[in-house]
Amino acid sequence: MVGAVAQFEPLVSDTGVPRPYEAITRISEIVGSRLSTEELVALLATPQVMLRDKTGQPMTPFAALALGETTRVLDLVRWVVTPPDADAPDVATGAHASATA
Amino acid sequence: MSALRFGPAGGLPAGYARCEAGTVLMRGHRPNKAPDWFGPAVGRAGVHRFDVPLRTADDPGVCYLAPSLEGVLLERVIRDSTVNPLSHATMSREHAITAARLTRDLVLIDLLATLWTVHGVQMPEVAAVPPYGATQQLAQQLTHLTLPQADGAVLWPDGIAYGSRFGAAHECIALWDRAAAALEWGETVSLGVDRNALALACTRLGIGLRE
Repeated sequence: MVGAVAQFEPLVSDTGVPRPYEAITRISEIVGSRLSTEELVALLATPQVMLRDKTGQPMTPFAALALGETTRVLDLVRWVVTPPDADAPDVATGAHASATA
Repeated sequence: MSALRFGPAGGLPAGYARCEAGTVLMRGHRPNKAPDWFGPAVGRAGVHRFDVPLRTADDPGVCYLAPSLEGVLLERVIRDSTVNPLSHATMSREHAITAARLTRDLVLIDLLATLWTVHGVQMPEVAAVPPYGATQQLAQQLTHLTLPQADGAVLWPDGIAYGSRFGAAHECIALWDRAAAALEWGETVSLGVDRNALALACTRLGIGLRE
């Protein structure tokens, strides 16, 4: 389960209170139980080819979040945890006998 | 070892590959999901590499399969993440696998050996990162491809043979639902159930496996 990952907005003064990026909460919701905390940290801390900066270099999702690229990071995370069967019918429904539509 | 026989080696013209009856293909899926899903649903936009861009009632759905556990791991578990080592617990909890034995030969469009010389596309196009607009357009065109037979009949290919974007030597198959009856589905098991096989596949991919 994810619950121990955070990234904080830069402090604007030395008396401020660290505030976590809201995007991390969204990421945790998207990931659910599909990645362990360690796996999620590895995903967010590794340069990703789907997140290239203006010079074409892969960025880490953490770096991209700090640059305000929230949508791209959410898309990446959603992509990684959504394999091809995401829309498939649940087995319990018995609907897979005609699972082509 | 390849599960495919390409072109003349499979009794086909260049540009096609044969996957023989009896071959076992694997489908990775969520434990609570049906393995025999050919998506996207009619009326829905394509999401994955060889889905059609927007599926109508005239378009085939796609079921993604691989003849090796490595193919399943690359395409389903690892994807664009760089998690190493993989978690056995996560794979056991979040991923299932169902084997399907082919009851007849499949004829597939070969996007491995002859993608450029016959089909006119190159690896960077086929292996581009999402969004998959270009490959989905290609898939749409390929669904209309037919293979004339000596007796004047036409053969409709069953799907596309391609290499994983994360390791092109690992063959994958995007099977269209016109070939759904060629799959004899076996029992669904947790991806983590055969730990030895999983560990061997991870070793061959150069990644670790932890609890």
